[in-house]
Amino acid sequence: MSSPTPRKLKTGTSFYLVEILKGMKITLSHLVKNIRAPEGLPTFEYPEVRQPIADRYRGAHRLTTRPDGKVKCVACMCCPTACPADCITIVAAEDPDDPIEKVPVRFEIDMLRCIYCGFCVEACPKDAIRMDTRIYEINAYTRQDMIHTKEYMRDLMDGDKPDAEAWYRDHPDHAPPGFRLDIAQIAPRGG
Amino acid sequence: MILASLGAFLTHPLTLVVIKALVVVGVVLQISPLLLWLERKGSAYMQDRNGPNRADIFGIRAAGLVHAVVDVIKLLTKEDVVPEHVYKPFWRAAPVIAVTIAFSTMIVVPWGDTLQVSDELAVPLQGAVINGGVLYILALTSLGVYGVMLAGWASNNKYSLLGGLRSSAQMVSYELAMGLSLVVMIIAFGTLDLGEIARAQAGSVFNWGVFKGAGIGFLAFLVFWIAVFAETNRMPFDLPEAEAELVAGYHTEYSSLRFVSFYVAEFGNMITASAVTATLFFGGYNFPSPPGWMGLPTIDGDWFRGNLGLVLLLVGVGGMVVFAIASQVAWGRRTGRFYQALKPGDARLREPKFWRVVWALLALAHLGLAGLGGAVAVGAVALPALLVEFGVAIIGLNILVAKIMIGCWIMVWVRWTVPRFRYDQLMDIGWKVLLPASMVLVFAMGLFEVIFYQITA
Repeated sequence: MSSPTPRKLKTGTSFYLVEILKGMKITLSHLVKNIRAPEGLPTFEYPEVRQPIADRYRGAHRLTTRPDGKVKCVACMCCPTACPADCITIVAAEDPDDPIEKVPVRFEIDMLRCIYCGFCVEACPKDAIRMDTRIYEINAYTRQDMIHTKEYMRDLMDGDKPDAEAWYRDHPDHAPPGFRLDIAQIAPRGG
Repeated sequence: MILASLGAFLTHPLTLVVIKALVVVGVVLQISPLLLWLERKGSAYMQDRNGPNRADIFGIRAAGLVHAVVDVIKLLTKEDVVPEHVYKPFWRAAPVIAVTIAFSTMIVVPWGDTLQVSDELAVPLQGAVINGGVLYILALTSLGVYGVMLAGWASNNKYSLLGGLRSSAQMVSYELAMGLSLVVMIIAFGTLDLGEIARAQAGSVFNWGVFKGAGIGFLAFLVFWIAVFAETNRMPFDLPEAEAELVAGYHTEYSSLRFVSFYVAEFGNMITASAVTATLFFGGYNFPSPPGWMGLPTIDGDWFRGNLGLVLLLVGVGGMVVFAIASQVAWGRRTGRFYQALKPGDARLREPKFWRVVWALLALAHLGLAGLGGAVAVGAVALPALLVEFGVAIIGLNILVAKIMIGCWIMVWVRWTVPRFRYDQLMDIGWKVLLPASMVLVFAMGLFEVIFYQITA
């Protein structure tokens, strides 16, 4: 196999200088354009400005509740079984108010292990766990704090309002950083 | 008694040299962080990025200028890591050499004509008046290789060594072309003293080095400027620190203050190279004056001395207009997604207001300057002779700094425009193009001068 022949430059091009000047013209035009209108830059300046999130985005988990405030979960162990990352811990017990009912006394998700596959949501027969919070800034200073508890996930949003966004619109003070109402054009809905 | 001895101390030649040296180093050190900002923000806007815009003092971000301060503080307070495997004496010496060379070249660059303080005392505004100033520059730039080379070698790691090796080869090869293009200018001006060279370029624009020898001077400038890029290890020729190949090249193992030394040395080299270019080819501290056409005055030191009031008036009015417009536009407009996303009460929302005040105050200051200039121009106020002298010196310094900044900006601009050359291409350009070209230019300039001398004599 023969080696490729090197590209022969035109005489004018081989002097480089003219070509460099042409390049400098391009960079200068970008510079001037961006100095004149820095708001036209494509950058999303992250903590303040955010990219729109898709409807199907899987964020932090929350536990939905019944009208009486208890979590819907009946500790059937479907989600820990479905979980490929083995990050859900459920300890079941009897409901003291209703001995027929089984409830979780502990329901913990280790967010360091979670891979956000959404299988737990698919597996749940009671619609007790959802990932519609749109929270993607899941962080903490210790590993222990990265384990989301039952109470945390239950109170992440008011559990009996199924639509996260509607709830956030009603409770802007409780909206997570991932959901900002004052940037309407950044979170276009539908489509 | 004490005053007299203080005066004698202050006017002692040695004291003056120390003061002038401090001024030079101060100027270089002050411009360096500014260049860092220019490089970061300029490159960002050229590449459609935002660039530094986060650090703020009470919400004032100054388009990222605060980052220059923050960067300096961060780099100075960082841990100074001394790796186990380096050869310590040379490793420690290398940044010192680099930064020393970068600063000391600047000392022969004149930043003004002689300052006539009194009848007895005339201070040449040049750090050190050396007869062979051009040779001094050449000697020091060759020494500059040692900083990079020693750093690369003493770091005792293959990438750094390769960086140092490339750098020394590159600097040695480009030194020849640079030296020969300087020879062209030496022939044209007939002196090695940079002060003399700058003085010879006073008066008309066409006394400038670039216009010498019917275009030969311009070609020499091109050769010199390309060689300067290689000497300062700037972008098309920044193979010593080609980050894609060599991590960071010769300064991979350095941190904290030692790293800053290399950084400052790079900016110092840029400033020095621009200053030398300005002095040799673009009239140094001389104003680009019309060459006496259509009855326009030739603007030189004497013209400034006679028309200081007019100059002050023009600067005052110009500055006032610029800053008055700026105070209407302000800095940091509140348009765009970012400002809409800021919560009310965010300190950064106050920024345009702050700049509006700053620009308005600057416009006011320039109004005062214009008033003073007008008063001097119509003869209502007579400035003391010493103040006039200082005024002329400051004008010259400002012109030189403006030329330096233009040169530095072109370096930044080119850096973010062109890709890096391959190593063999670099050597080809150095040895096969620039060196023969500069040799031809030397002969051409010699011939031109001889013929010119024959005609005029």
